[in-house]
Order: sequence, then C-alpha cells, then structure tokens
Amino acid sequence: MRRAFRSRLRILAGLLALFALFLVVRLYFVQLIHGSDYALKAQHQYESASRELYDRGTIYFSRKDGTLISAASLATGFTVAIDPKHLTDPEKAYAAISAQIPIDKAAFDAMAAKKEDPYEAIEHHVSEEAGAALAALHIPGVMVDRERWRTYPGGAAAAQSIGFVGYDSENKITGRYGLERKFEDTLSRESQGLFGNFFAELFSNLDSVIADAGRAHKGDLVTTIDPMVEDKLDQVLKATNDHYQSAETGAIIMDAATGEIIALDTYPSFDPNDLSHGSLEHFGNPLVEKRYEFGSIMKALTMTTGIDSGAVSPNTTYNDTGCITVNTKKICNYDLKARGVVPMQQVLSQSLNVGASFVATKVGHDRFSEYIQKLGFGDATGIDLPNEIRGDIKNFLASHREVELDTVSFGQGISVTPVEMIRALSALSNHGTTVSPHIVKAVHLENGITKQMPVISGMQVYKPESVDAVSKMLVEVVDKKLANGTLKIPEITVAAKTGTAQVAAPGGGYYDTLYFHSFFGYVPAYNPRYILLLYTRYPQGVQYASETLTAPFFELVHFLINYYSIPPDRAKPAAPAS
Amino acid sequence: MPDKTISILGAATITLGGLYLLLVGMTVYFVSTETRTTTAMHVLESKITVLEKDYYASISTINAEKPEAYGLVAPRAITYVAAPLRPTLSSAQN
Repeated sequence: MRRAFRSRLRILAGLLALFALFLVVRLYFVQLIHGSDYALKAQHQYESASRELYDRGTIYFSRKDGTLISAASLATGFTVAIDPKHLTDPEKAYAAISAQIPIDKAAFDAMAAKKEDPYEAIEHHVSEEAGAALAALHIPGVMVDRERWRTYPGGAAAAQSIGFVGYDSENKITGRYGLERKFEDTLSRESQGLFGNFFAELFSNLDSVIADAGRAHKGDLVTTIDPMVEDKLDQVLKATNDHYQSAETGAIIMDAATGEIIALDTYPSFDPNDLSHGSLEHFGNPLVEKRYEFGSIMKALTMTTGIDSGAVSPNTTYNDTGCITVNTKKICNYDLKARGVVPMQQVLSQSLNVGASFVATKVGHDRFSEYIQKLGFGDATGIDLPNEIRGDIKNFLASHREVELDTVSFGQGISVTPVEMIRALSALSNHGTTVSPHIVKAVHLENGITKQMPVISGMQVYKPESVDAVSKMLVEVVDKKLANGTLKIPEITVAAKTGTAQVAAPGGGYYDTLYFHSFFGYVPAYNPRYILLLYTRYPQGVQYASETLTAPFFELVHFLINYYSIPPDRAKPAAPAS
Repeated sequence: MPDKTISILGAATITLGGLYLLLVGMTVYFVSTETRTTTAMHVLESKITVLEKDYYASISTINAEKPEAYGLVAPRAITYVAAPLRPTLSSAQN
C-alpha cells in the first residue's frame, strides 16, 4: 500500500515537473522569443504594416571588370511621427523637428491638434543623421522609427527594364514593372523586425533554419548591363530625341556572341525614385512591348537570305527601273529614280526597294518565309523582361501574293519588337546563328550559391560564308556611302545599314509625313564584339535615318571601341613595348 | 527512496532554472548583438547606396564631357592602334 502510494507520488511529481518545464519553455517563448513582437504589435497596432523594416534583394549592374554596382537597393533612414496626445510642448517639438527636416508649420499644427489620433506621420525617408539627431532629443510625443525603402541609385538608367516596386491590390509592396516584377519571387523577402535573432528562429522554426526552402531561390540579381555604357547610351538617346523632337528614341547594345545586353533604353523614360514626375505611358518597356515596322535595315537580312539560299550572289545584277508594279501595287525606290543594271552591293549601298524586291522574288515566298521564321520573327525572344509581345507576321505568312513578299523584303508589312529585331540581326553578327538576348546573367542566392542563368541556344539560320559576304557589303556601305565615307574608321571595320520606314495609318496605307528611323550595325565587322540597334519614332524635320541616327550610332561605336579597347582588325598591331 | 526522488526533482528544477536563466542571458546578448549588427549593416548599405549615386553622377559627368568646352581643339583625325602587349612578369633570375 505504502509502495503503491510512493509510485503514484513519483508519477504525480514527474507530471508536475513536466508541466513546470512546459510552462517554463512556454514562458521563454512568450517573453523572449516573441516578446518584442508582441510589444511592437501592441505599441504600433494602429500603424501600417510598412513600419516593419522592408527587405528585398538587390539588382546589380555589372562593370566590365566584374564590379557590381546597385541598380536597385535599399536605403535606411527614419520615419518621424508624432503622438498628439503625448505631445506636451508642440512648439518645442516643431522647433526641434524643423531644425532637422523642412516641415510646414500649419500642417504640423493641424496634425498636433488631432488629440484622438495616436499616430501622425510627419516625414518619411528622413536621413540617418537628421533622424539620429532628433531621436537623441527624446521629445515626448515625437517618435523616430527606423525605416527602409527601395531606392534606385542610377535614377533613370535602364529604368524601364529595371522597373520599380509599388503597392499591389493587397497593399503589399511588390515589383510592378521590369525585372522587379519578372523576378518578384527571387527578390521578395519577408519584412524584417530588428528583434529577429538566431535563437528565436532556431527554437520557433527549426525546420526553416536548417533547410529554409526560401534561401534556395531568394537572392540578388546580377544583370549584364554595364553602367558606363548605359549612361552613355542614355545621353545619346536623349540628345537625339531632343534634337529631332521625336516621339521616342530607343536602342539596344548587345554582345554579339552571347546575347548579353550591355545597355538598353528608350527616351522619354522616368526616374523610379520620383514617380510623381513620371508618366504612366513611359513605365512600360517599348523594347519588348511595342511592335514597329523597321524599314530598310531588313534589306541586310533579305540580301543574306538571297545569298544563303543561292538565289543571288554578290555579283548578281538586275535592271533597276525605279518602280515596279506588283499585284496592281506600285513599289518604288525612295527617290523614285531608276539605277539601270546594278549589282547587289547597290541594293544595300543605295537602299533600293526594287532591288530588295528582286532578291525576295528570286528566293520565293515559301523559302523566304522559312528564313523569316528561323530568324525568330513572330516568336517571343523569351528575354527576361515582363510583358514581351510577339511580332506580327500573320499577313505575310497567310498571303502568298508577291506584293506582300516584296514589301517585307524592305522591312514594311511586318511589325516586330526591337528585341525581336536585334535577335534576328544577331544572325549577321554571330556567323549565321542567332543569339538569345538577355539581361540577367546570374542570381546570387541567399545560401551563398551563385546560380548562372540558363540561356536559350540560338538557331543556325545562315551559313557563315553567306554572312561574311553580306558583312563585306555592309562594310562598304559604311566605308563609301554613309556620309560619303567620311565616317569610315580606317583601322576597324564597321558593318551598318540604315532604315527609314513609313508609318502605317489606321485605315490602311501610310502617313505622308511620319517616319520611323532605324539603324543597326556591328563592330568589328568580321569578328563582331557588339551589335547595336537604334531607332527613333516620328522625328521632326527630317526624312531619312541617315540624317538622324548616323551620328549617334558612330558616337556609340567610338565609345565602345575606346571603352572596351577593341583592337584594330584591319591595321597592323603596334610593336610590343620594350 | 522518496528522499532521493525529491532530491533528483529538486536538482532537475534547479538545473532547468539555471538553464533558463542561461538561455535568457544568451538570448539577450545575441539579440542585442544582432540588433546592433543589423542596424550597422543597414546604415552601411545605405551609405554605399549614397556612394553609388555619386558614382552614377560621376560617370554621367565624364560621359557628357566636351573637350571643346575647355578650349581644346577637336582632333582632325582619330587613329586607333592595338594596345601594346605588356611584358609578362617572370620569376626568372636572369
């Protein structure tokens, strides 16, 4: 009996001990691990969720030496607010606050008068110095709380591609445009509390500490964009757009072999740090979200198609009559003039529509449309930017009339996005194989691993010798035709072609006075490092792309040669230094 | 035997109590350390961002530079040459 009593006593004591242990552990969690949480919730239950310290991955630009420079990062500072109920001396508080940050006295008085409101934000994004100085004064009723926010150090540089964050329908800050939106899953983080600590995480969520699934895919983005080239491009685009009062001017500079885009932008754009001065119509990215008829730069592809298919050779000649009638439609050279019997070189040098039509007709609709599709026209490039649309080549593919074929041969009748166009042109700058344009090259994951982004392999469209033949013709365009050959670089070959397209009117036909100018080229011509595509929409007071885009193109080419130390390809190298 | 049980339970309670206090101390220490470190890191990141803004402003100034503005005459012709080959460093003694 006594023994049984003792056993029961031991069991009871053991249960009590277990219960006590449970209470101790529970108390530990409530008091210490989640204590700050509860305190903060109690203290700021009337404040918005944004008071938690905002966190998000960084987006980097890459310099040529591999140095990473933030394109989108986080800034830290303070929010200054008042609790009118506890504001014992509003005048003193105003004097102290206004000494650090400019505030309107009337607005402050109005906020201070709201005695029933426990929280009135005076100013967000207050600097570290001003906030710390204000906090040190310990003014009753004045709250100085830490705050973090998204900032874009480069301002408008590639803003349409980087994008920005904003509030979504659930009042959460998420990526709204550009990479910020495309890589929302990678960049987004749970907001941080300063009370978060290793032990708290360890005890409260052991699984997530040991194997946090988020850490396997959350990280920072490393883009291929070089900030130096991007800035130069932005300056050139702005100057061109301002000079010709265009509706829009854009460009892409891409590594010819890899498809890495080192600079891209359009003007007008916006500063993501100051969206109040931005326009909604400029938030999107025309380089992937708009289609254009590019005009005569298409002739370079038409000529390569002609040579590659065996329909023509560089020595082929034709009789240029200035205008031809095809399916009752008249197709003419830009100046309506006949050239007589001319070789293929003149089709590119003088940008002859009749000559391009001749080549396309020789190739034939079926073979030509095969090339068009292999070049990727009508297919999205899969570039790592949101909202990419596909080119519109439906009419061309559906119609087997010769007039549509001829029209496409000189870049009218099909509309494609700029990024789609540079992918097609990359077949010329990459020995016949297209590349996949892309902006993000790696993700630095939170777990320390760097994940290289996979790149879609390109399509072999042309034989290398066909491309070499056309590159030679395009070099001659630069050396002898553009600005009468004055822009020729004696030591380095540059291949280029201009394009002037009429703009389609809504009811059919084309506007008489609106033009879309384009310009593409690659350097050095026979072993290209970079390919450039420029365009300007509706320039005023000029008709041809050779007038608007030649100078900007060569300014960028000279910049790239200097910046990347591109060696001469048609001059003897200097003797080694002794 | 009951005396022993009470002793064991008492010792366990004291140990648990001590462990609790130790955890309290360690947690407070790590919380304060982490808080200070995190704040310092955020402030540092913010300072880097300010420096990066300066960097962008600098490259913008460099790219916009016009030599003519300093009275320099634009060259009549530009000639590109291959960068001279740099002699390779060698650990050879002679």
